[in-house]
Formats: sequence, C-alpha cells, structure tokens
Amino acid sequence: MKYEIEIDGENFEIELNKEDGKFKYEFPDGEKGEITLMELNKSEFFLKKGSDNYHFYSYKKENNDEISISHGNCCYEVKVSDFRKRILKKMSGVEENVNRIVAPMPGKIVSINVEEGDEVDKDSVLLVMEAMKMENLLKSPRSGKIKKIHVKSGDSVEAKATLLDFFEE
Amino acid sequence: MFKKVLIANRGEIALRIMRAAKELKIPVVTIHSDADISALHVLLSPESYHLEGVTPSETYLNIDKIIEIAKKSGADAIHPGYGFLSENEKFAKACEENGITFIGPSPSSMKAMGDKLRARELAKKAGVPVIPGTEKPITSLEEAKAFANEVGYPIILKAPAGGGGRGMRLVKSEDELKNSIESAKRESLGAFGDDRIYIEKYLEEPHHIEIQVVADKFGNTFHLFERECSIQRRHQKVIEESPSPFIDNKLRLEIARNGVKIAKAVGYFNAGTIEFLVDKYKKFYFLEMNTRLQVEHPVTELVTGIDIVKAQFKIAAGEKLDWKQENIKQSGHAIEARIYAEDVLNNFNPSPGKIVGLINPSNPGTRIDTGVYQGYTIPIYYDSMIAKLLSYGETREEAINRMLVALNEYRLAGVKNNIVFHKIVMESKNFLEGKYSTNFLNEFDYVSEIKKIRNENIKNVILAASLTYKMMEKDIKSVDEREKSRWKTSGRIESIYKNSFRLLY
Repeated sequence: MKYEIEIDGENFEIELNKEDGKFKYEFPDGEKGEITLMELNKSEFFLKKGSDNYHFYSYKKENNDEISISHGNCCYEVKVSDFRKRILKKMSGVEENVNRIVAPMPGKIVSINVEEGDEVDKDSVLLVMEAMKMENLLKSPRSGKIKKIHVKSGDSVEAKATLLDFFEE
Repeated sequence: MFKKVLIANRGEIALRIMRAAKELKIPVVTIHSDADISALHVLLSPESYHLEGVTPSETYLNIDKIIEIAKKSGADAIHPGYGFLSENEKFAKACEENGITFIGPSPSSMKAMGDKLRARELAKKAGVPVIPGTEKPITSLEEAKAFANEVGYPIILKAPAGGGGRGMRLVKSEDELKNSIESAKRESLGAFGDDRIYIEKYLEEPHHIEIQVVADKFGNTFHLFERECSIQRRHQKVIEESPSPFIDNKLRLEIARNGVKIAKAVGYFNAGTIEFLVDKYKKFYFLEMNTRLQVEHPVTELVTGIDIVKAQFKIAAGEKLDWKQENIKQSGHAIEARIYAEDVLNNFNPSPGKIVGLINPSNPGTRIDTGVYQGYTIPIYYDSMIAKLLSYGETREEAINRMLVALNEYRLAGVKNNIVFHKIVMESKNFLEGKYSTNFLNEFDYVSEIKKIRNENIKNVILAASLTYKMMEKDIKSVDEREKSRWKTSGRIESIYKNSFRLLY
C-alpha cells in the first residue's frame, strides 16, 4: 500500500506492506528494506532497521485526526492518507477551510477585540488568549468581515476549538 | 525545629521543599487545587488538603484558606516556594498574626523590595548603581512619551509588583507605546492585581547576572556567588549557569559585595537573590531583589555544595549560620536547562497536555528537579515549566558535555517541549565560547537549526507515521466489519459492542 504523509505542510510518500509478519518499505528515492516493530507500551514503539535502532512515541490527540510522532524529542504532527482515500477526497471536492479561526492551544479567552459584522485588516488583533500565565494575541490571517464569534470573554477552550468565522470571499 | 511544615506551592518546587523537610525530619503537609489532585507533589506527600477551584486566586493564592489548613493540620511553619504567595507581604503578616512561621524574610524587607520602584530608591541610597528610569508609575501616555524621548528608545515597561516577565514589554518606538502600555497593564492586573507600570531605559547587550545571598536573623549575610541568566525567551530565563563566563573574578566579587550591601540595607534574612544587569562595558546596575527561593537555586547548590532550602528552614527556625564567607567556594561549573512544555517553533507558545512517554536521564553530575510523571496531564492553569535539568562538571566543557548526554537521552512525549532547543543552544558557537548576552536568541537562528534536526530524522518519522496508520487502519476496519455483522446477527449485540471499544489503537 502506498501512503502519502504530510509533515509540517510538506508531503512525502512511502510504500509499506506487511509480509510474513514483517514490514517491508520503500521510499521514492529507492531506499528500501525490512523492519521489525515492537510495541513497548501503549503509544511507545521500538523500530529496528537492520542494526539501526529507533525509539519513538506515536499517539492520536483526542480533538483532531492527526497523529503525533515524538522522535528524538522532536514532535511531529502528521497526517497520513493512503492513495485510495486521497482520490475519494479529491472527488468530493473538500477544500481546506480558510474562513475559520481556531485556538492554537488550550486556554482562556481574555478579551475579544472584534464584533460580528466588523471589517478587519490582516494582522489586526482579533482576540487575546491566555494560557499558562502568558497572554497571546491572535492576529487575523487575512482581511475580511467577521461572520460569527463562537466564544465569549472568560471561556476556556480546547486546542483547535473554533473561535470565529469569516464571511467567505 | 518546626513541628510540621505546610508547603504552599505545587510542581517541582513543592517536591524540592518537601525533600529538604524530610531530611530535616519535619513532617510535611501539602495543598492542591482541583486540577492537581494527582500531581506528583501530592502523590509523594503523606498528608494533603484540597483547595476547591483551579485558578491560582482560588487555590495557591488563597491566603485565608491556606492559613486555615495550616492551623487545622497543626503546621507551625509555611514554606511558600517561589511565585504564588512567596513575595506577598499580606500573607507573611497573616502567618505572623496566626503564630505560624513564614519561611522567608520579614514582611518589612519584603515590602521594601516588593515594590521595584522603592527598591531602586533604596539601592541608590546604599550607593549601588541603578538603571535610569521613571521614579514613579506613569499616569499618562504623554508622560511615558516624554520620558522615552528623554532617554531614547528602546525602553522597557515594567510592573512595580512584577516578576516572571509578566507585565514587562520592550518598546522599540513610539508607535508601539500605547498598545504595549495597555497590554502590560492588563497582564499585570491579571497577575498581581495591580496595573501600575513604570519605565526603564533598555540597556544594549546586557547580561543578566544575579547574586545569591543567604542571611540569618543575627545579621550574618553571606553571598554564594553569581548566576549568569542571560539566555531568556519572552523575558523568562531558560538557561542559567555558574560561574558566569562573562565576568572576571574581580568584577564577580565586586558585584557580590554590592549584593550583600543591598541585603544588609533592608535587614534581610532568608535566601534571596539580587539581580544585576551588566552592560557590554562591564558596568553593572541593580535591577531588583527577589526575596524568596529562586527557580535556579540548584545551580548555586551544585557549585557551592550548600543546600539552600535546608538553610532557609534553619534560618526561619532561628538558628545561627556558623559559616565563614572565605570558606564558601565556587568550585566546578553548573548549568541549568529549564524544560518547558512549549512550542519553540511557534513563538514558544505553551503546550499543555498529557505526557504519554517519559524517561529521565541520569549520570554523574546530572540532576533533575521535576513535578511530572508518565501519564500525568499538565494543566493549563499554571506555569509551563515542567522540569529543571542540571549538569555539573569540573569545567564548563564537562558540564556542557554532560548536559548534551542528558538532553539526548531525555524522552518526553505527548507535549511539545524545548529539549531540542536546549541541545542546539549547547552546541552553538556563541554558547560554547561563553559569548552571549540577553540578545542571544535575537542573534541565533534557532528555528533553522531545529528544522535541520527535524529534517535529519524525517525518514524515520515517515516510517513511524505509516506504521502507526497501518495499525490503526487495521483496527478501524475490524470495527466496521463487526458493525456490519451486528445488523445481521441481532443476538450477539452486547458482546460485539463491548469488543468494539477495546480497539482503535
């Protein structure tokens, strides 16, 4: 099976198949081989590629469909799709929603600087969030008109919770 | 010594204090908020009381409740740790009024130093140099503009009650001034219940060097040398070391003597830290005094061999320090790396969450002070610092190498963290040569360095991701299949339903 993997907005491919209890992989650059995977704990894995050792953690976050991989203390948010699903997605015409502002982290809404119906400029401050004693200004990624505000000042929100919507352009 | 001590704090510092108390055979009581019910400081303490709520003001800042718990549990002393009530004069007074010893300085010296404007006045009078600044909090934008124009930009806004970088804003030009004042006031009000702001001239390429002092109630005041704390992000320290690679022995002792001068000027007892800025011409200025145990105190413990927390207990209990300044030596080299749950690549934004994997490093000269464990969920309500990793060596080079070994073996999964950031700082030319000021991060392209490391690993990540996906996919499919059969065979619904929960991952 061929997989497409998005890491930090960049796409990679890999062919991965299971044969006789072993995983066989091949990268587009021709590198291929056999690996053994051990599940040490829930979310903790040990991968052997010949004599090379890789210890990693892999887990799904509750509030989104991404997989997080922690390897060498680098944390990667990864989206995996196999080719079959990708074609289906293309056919259904799903587009990335750019009209929605979501919380970049869990935290508390300190203040909301805009109202529904406001026209805002790119980089103007939409709202102020606080998490772990830090104030964070959420700036508008684009200019546009605010359609709906989903939170109020004082609310506690989860990461990726919808904060406000723009009118589509 | 005390009959029992209540620790009015959380996280790693609550554990540090608890361990010192246990060594001194003092029974310990801890407190916790709703969110901290299974925090490590609670798990490892034999007796602990619940404070309802999650916000600091409902819990770790709740003076009345904490005093009530101390009395109920029979504690005759309270250690406040750092942050929270550690520099709260009202709390120190409340302890005094209730016959409880506050393990800290007297309310009067706390008051003198707690207001940074008053502290500046005091330092001036004691003959210690201070940074040019407004003598009073600013009352209008015009006033702020006038002062800024007089000393020139950049300037720095500060909260007289401030600490931990909160209420602090660097202002580079007049058009940033209004917004910065408003946001500094708001942050300061939220953090300290006080929205006063004053202004100081911002020194170019300053070093943040602080002197640790320890003084008893008999006027014996000692310094434990300096800590170099110039590597900061968002005005918060990330790496500290002792000795400072920037100053020579003569300057070191001169700054230390000035630190002692300030401590003596307020009749200080307890452990305390006098912070100085040292500019590129090696002129030093008094910044502020922290009248409490400092986060980075272990750095000094490693180079002097003195247990500062135990010293605090002894001083508070009225014991005399039979030390001699000339016998206190700064030997070897110590470095501290603060481990934060944060997203370095996203402006160091906090990243709370569940720790799914954790392996702490260990080696000669390696120390970890931490309050987290595998399976623990870091709450959103408190500080994002989850551990302090320290390394000690006979030389600075040995300390750095030990730090690197520890950072490479450290495993902390589930929350974004700055372990890799520390690694690249330790390997950077300017840090290795000891040539850095508080501008370090502005001049160091850590984003590219981190991205380089991430890219080196990319093939493993692709493998790991596709393997994880494959395993999940298999499980999802089997749920689907069972769901199908559920419609077909209505008789076995219950057992199938039960089975489909076990899966997915």
